[in-house]
Parts: sequence; C-alpha cells; structure tokens
Amino acid sequence: MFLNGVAMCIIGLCAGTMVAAGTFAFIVMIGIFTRMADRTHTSAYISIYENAVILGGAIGNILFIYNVRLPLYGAGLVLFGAFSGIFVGSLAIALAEVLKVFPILVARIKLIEGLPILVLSVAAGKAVGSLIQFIFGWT
Amino acid sequence: MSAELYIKIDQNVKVNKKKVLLSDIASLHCTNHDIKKELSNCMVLTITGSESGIYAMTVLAVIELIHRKRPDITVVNEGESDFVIEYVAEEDRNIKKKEAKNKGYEYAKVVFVSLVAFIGSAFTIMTFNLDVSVGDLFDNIYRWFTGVEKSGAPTILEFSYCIGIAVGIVVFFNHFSRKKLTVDPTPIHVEMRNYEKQVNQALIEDASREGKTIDVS
Repeated sequence: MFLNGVAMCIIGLCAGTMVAAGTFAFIVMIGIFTRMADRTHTSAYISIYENAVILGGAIGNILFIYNVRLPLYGAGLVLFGAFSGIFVGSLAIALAEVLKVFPILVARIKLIEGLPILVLSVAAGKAVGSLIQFIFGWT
Repeated sequence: MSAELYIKIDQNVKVNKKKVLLSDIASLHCTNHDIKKELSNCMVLTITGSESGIYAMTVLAVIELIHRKRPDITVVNEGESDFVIEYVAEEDRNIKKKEAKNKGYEYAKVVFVSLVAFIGSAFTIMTFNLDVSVGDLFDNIYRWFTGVEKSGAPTILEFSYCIGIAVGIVVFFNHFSRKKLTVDPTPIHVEMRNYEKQVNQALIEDASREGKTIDVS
C-alpha cells in the first residue's frame, strides 16, 4: 500500500513535469506573449507575464483536477470567456503563421493590396464560425 | 603606413538628433586617436522632415563616407552589413515621456496581457487534460497500483500531478517572480530578442526591395 503510494507519487510528479514542459514550451515558442508584449510596449514586464503563465497553468490544473467551485457566476464567465477567447484567437493565428499559410497564399495568388481585409476576414470568420457552432450546439 | 579603423554597428540604432554622426551609430576603434576623433564627427545622415522614421543603410555607404574624408585608412567592419537607423522625433519622444509618466495606462496594459497569459494558460492545461483524457488515465494507473477502482475523490496521484505541473513550468521558465534559478535568460526573454531581430531583418529587406536603402551609388 505504501509502495503503491510512493509509485503513484513519482508517476504523478514526472507526468506533471513533462506535460508542463511540453505544453508551455509550445505556447511560448508560438510567440503569443512576446508579440503582445511588443505591441503594448511592455517588454520590460515580461517576468510578470511569465509569472502569470506559471500561476495560470498551476492553478488552472488544480481547479480542473479537483473540480473546485468558484462562485463568481456571470462575472467569472465573462472574464474567463473573453480572455480565453483572446488567447485562443491569437493561438490559432500564430499557428497559421508558423505554418506559413498566409505568405504562401499571398504569393500564390499574387495578392498585393487588401492584406488588412484578409486579416479582418479571418478574424470575423473565426468569430462567426464559433458563434454558429455554439448556437446550434455542434460541440 | 595606413591606419586601420574598426567599426561596429548594431542592427538597430536609435537616434534623437537630425544630424547623425558616425559616433552616434557606431563604436569605433583605431590605434591612432586623432583619426578616431576626426572620424567620429563624420556626418553619416541628415534627416529631412520632422517626423519619426526608419532608415535602412548599408555599411558600404558608411565606409564610402569615411573614405571620402580619409582615403588612406583601411576600414574593418566588425558589425552588421545592413542596419536600421530609427529616428525618434522630439514630439514623439515627449509623448513617450508623457506615456511613461502615465503609469496607470501602462499598468492597465500589463494587467491585460497578464490576464490573457493567466487565463490562457489555465485554458490550455485544461483543454490538454480533457483532450488526452488525463482523468481516465489516472483511473487506470490507480487500478494498476492498488487493484481497486478509484472512488472518484482525488488521490495522491492527482495531487502529485498538480505539483509536477507547477514544478515543470517553473523549471522551464527558469525563474519564479524575481528569483532566477540560473543566470540564463528565460525562454520568453529569448523569444522577445528573436522577435526584435526578425523585425529589424524585415525592415532592412523591405527597404532594399523598395530601393530605399542608403547605399553606395
């Protein structure tokens, strides 16, 4: 019984460490936070952003695993929804950018003008797409 | 005997004056101090117009300017072959100063990005856990080790997983709060510098494509 506990403790620790390294290496390398820090001219504060990532990952995981209740109701829903939406939106575009979707597309069809419209269309398409998905319950 | 002048110019140089001297953009070294002093006052670029702007330049243009003054010396370039001069106009600098004084605005931005980072990370780890069915896997592992079904309440396994996640991120980012674990810069720090380098590279290539680079004619 005791040995089982020790073994599970080791497995849990190792699994957590590797999962964290993999998952968070991914969101850092994809460059969302560096881009945001640059756009807002707050690159002096990146250690705060790193702390936010550390706390977010650790606390979010605890909330998920232990099914913690946070009775914040509407305010909590809006806060979590809006900011996770911003994050996923940046993540999706960052992924498309890493895979060089837009440069290749633009070069293929020889698009010179209208790049802002392309970006806006992608944003609007994602918003409308997820709205439709949630309204019709396609999840 | 001709003297050798070593110059090193960074990829991105910020200037505030309209008359840009060689000493403003480059670090110079020469065994002959008089030559160094004479050439540091060599005019590199006169900025026309009062707006802030970015000027791409090649080191060849700089060498040409030096040779126009002193054809007898050898210039050794130890820095970039292309670089950008970023001119920040007086009024823009004042705006920046005002913005810097307005700490509230800056903190609001920091809070915004921090919230995205915090909630985004929480979201990421939860989607990961759900996506790969960490819960089901933990039920299996619990059964291997104890032989009984898990009753549903979190066990030592979940607890150590939570600790492991925190340890993993802290080790990966190499610091917690101000306390650094080692002297290496953190991954976000490295990515930040990488991003700035890519921006400079893009500016240089844009200017060269549009033929706006200041080069030897």
